[in-house]
Amino acid sequence: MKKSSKKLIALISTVVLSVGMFAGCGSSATEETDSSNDGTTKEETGKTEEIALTFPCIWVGSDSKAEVFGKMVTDFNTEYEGKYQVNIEEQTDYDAYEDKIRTLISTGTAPDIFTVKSFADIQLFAEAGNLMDLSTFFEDSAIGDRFITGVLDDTAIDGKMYAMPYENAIIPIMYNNKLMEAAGVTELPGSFDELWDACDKLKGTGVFPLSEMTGDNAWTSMLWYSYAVAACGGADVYDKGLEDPAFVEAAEILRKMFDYTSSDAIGADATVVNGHFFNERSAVYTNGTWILGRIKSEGVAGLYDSLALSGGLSNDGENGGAYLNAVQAYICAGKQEDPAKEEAVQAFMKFITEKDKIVELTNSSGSLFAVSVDSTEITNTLQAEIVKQSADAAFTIRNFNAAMPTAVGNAFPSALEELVLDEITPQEFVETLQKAAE
Amino acid sequence: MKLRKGESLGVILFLAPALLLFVMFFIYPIFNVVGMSFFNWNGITDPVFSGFENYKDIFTDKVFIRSITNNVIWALAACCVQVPLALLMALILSRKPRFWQSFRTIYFLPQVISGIAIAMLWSAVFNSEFGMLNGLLKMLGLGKFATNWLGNPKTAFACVLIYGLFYIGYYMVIMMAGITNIDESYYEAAKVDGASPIQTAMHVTVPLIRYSVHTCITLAAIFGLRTFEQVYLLTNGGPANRTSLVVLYLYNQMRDNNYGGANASSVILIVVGAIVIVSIRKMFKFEED
Repeated sequence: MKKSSKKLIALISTVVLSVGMFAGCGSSATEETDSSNDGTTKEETGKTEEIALTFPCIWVGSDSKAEVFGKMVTDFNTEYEGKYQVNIEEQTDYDAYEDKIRTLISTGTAPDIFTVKSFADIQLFAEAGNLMDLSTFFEDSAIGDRFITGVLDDTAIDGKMYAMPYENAIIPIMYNNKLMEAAGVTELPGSFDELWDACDKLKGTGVFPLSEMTGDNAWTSMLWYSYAVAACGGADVYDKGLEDPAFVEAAEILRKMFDYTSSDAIGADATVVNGHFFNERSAVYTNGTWILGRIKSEGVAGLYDSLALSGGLSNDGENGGAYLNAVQAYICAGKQEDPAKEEAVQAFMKFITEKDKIVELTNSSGSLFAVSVDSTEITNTLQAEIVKQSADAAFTIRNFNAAMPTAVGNAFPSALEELVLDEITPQEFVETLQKAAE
Repeated sequence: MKLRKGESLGVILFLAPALLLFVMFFIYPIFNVVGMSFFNWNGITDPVFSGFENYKDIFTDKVFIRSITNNVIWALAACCVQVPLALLMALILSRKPRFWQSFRTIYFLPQVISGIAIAMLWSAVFNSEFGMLNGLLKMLGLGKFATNWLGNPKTAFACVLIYGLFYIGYYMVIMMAGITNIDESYYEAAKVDGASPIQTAMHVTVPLIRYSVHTCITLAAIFGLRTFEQVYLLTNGGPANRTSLVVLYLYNQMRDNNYGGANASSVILIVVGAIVIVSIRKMFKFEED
């Protein structure tokens, strides 16, 4: 073969390889352009245009809400056939989903409908100007009255609504009555002083009185801190900011709680904490209603039936009976240029917050929602009791992570470890959180 | 070898696709990281130029100082303990004692098992309530030494480090491959001179596999500097940031939506990595071909 032919073959091979490598990218980009079409997807169906909404959804697959929520979407599509169509994009990895939403928001291509779990993220997305303003939607009393008291006010940002509160976390304090009675504790504690007395008695029987953890996001201990903050500062403690002395006082209480917990609490994650409570190694625990199903299926025989529930404890005779109640998932919508599409989003939000649908979703999943339902309609007795106790509570208050910026929640576990290891004082613990808030 | 006139075009064209991808996915991101380290950016709103503010913040952050210190300790331990351990195993197994193939497989096994599975295993070993280590201590009557190994600031870093040091199989295999390539005549000459097995290993084998040793030390140092998975899974940097590492630190910066700070810590890690690689290269002083 001549030298010039070799060169020609080399040149052709290189060009073919390069084109081949980029061919995939090229075609998908074209497809994407065709389907996304400046963020508005409309499908021709006869004479009228059907508005299609994209909804990357996490309530799919093995999620407890998947079946009933999926049915709700199908019912919506049937009811609005030819007018609106919600297309679910299944998202099974929540971290990947969060990354995807952030990327789409930052590039100005937010999905039509999506869920966000952190209020701090909603504030950030709203600041970027990529969320649909839902204020007029909630001004309609027929919509606004569907939600539990105060939850819409908590969701407002500078008087505007950029998200719809949906899944709600109601968090009781859970006691293993069998262990409590065995230790001679016949009444549930109503104050922190009574809790310490109960802890001393429980410790004497060889169980860990309290469940605590510092691993991951220190969820259980963060909830205990939230209850302590509520007891020390009252209903409006978060409005006063981290400078309020209640946060230091609550840190002292939290520090004392670690004297009554397991030796593996530092570094323990949810698996460890759950393991202790489910196996009756610890007696007092706090978590959301979603854990009830697991207590029933994974807990030792009789544990579920011996559960006793209560709201928060008082401190120095004040602020007892609080209930932790925070939105776990918000539904947001990407900013729309087309008013018809805004109407489609609102129609969907209206549809999925109808009371009978929420009751069905509650009963099927074990989760609770920001839409007000009558506790008598909830089939699970413990769940119904929690809803009732929360409704009758002296006051409800968000948990610490829900009320604070993301960075504060992220700083909490390591600050807690320093506090528990006596490397910092309760005052310094709060200062660490303040620094994170900056 | 010098290229003949006219061949350069072909070489360039063949290299172009790979070079293009390398520039797109490695060189460009590095420049981007360096550039963004001078901005305050939450990942959503527009970045704001902040000069050296991010660098100032991380150098005054005690968690970052602890993280970089831990990384240096980790890299040193990898070079000074892990590689010599791997060399020792390679020297022993290359003499092909009984069951040497089984041992080679056993030592290499951690490399092919999921890090998550191994971390779960070690987590169970170190657990203070039902862990194997405390159980063993109690059984031996040393119960007073039982502790929350991963939750105790005095023991946590040593525990994650020890767990990391068990990954010797990779380096061992590289050095065994080097030993296999040594000409038999060197050993015969050593035998004629009456060298003991230890003398043969020290004066024949080790000098002849110095390139492999250099490769292993470089890799160990790099892996030590970029370690993340083991610490993230076992302690997540705790207790009280005692086991934090730079990659974990920058991951946490991203979780806090502080992408400027994350980029600045990445730049520092790149610089430290470059210094370490150059230092190791200088230390070995190889003659370039």
